[in-house]
Amino acid sequence: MNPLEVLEKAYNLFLVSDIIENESKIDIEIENLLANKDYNNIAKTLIYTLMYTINEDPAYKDIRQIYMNYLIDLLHMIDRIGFNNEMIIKIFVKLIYQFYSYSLQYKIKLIADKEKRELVKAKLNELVDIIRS
Amino acid sequence: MDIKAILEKTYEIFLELGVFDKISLVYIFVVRGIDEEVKNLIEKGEYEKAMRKIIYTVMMNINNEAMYEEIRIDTMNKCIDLLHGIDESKIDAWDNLEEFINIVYSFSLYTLENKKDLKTNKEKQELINTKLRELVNIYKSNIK
Repeated sequence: MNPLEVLEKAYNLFLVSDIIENESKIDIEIENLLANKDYNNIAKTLIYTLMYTINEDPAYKDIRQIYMNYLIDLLHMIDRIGFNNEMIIKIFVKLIYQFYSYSLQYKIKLIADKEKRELVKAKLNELVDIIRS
Repeated sequence: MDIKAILEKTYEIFLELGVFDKISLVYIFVVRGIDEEVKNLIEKGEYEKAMRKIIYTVMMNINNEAMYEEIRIDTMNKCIDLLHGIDESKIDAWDNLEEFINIVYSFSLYTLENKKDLKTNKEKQELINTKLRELVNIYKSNIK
């Protein structure tokens, strides 16, 4: 499993979905990290953006507590083991999948915009396919 | 700034506050309690890891305990910002240490004022207040 591919696909998904808080802040930073293949920091930066969103956006109120615990847990595991590990990569993809499955159902922005919705679904499938293969 | 002294003092305060309990339940990989892990990391000089674990402890508590709801969004954002700050520069960067102390101090004070078993225990309150003052003193003695 190629960690860089997973991170790139996750990043592309974040970019097309337009529902992440602090999005403008992470663009340049992640581009730089991707160029340097700094797996741990790319993964952590992506996790932080999910955390900001889950914490602040009332759309995620119902899943906030449990989902935030999983994200903190994942950060902790990356500290201990590093991102380049099959189990960690799978958990990372699974959590992103859960976040977007929920978003597709409850985030008005995605429900209302059919084009964006299809784009998010396509990018999400691309990401999930990596760990399926 | 004396990172070791700051972390040791924070460790003592969190132990008295009883906030370490929350975290060890969730982690899949933690065999020992998180408090022991933090203590060992400080002793081994692995300050960054110890600091991150303390930040996770704050996050876990405010995420899972209803009593923190009022300060949750703001404190959680500060914790994420700090984790990010530590990734980008070193933990001994002045801004990071200052923010760390800021988070620990306000979280501890809030816990002290709102946690049921602490509110009624005068002796413990005094002890924690003393330790919080000691933490602030470490910080102050480093501002030149």
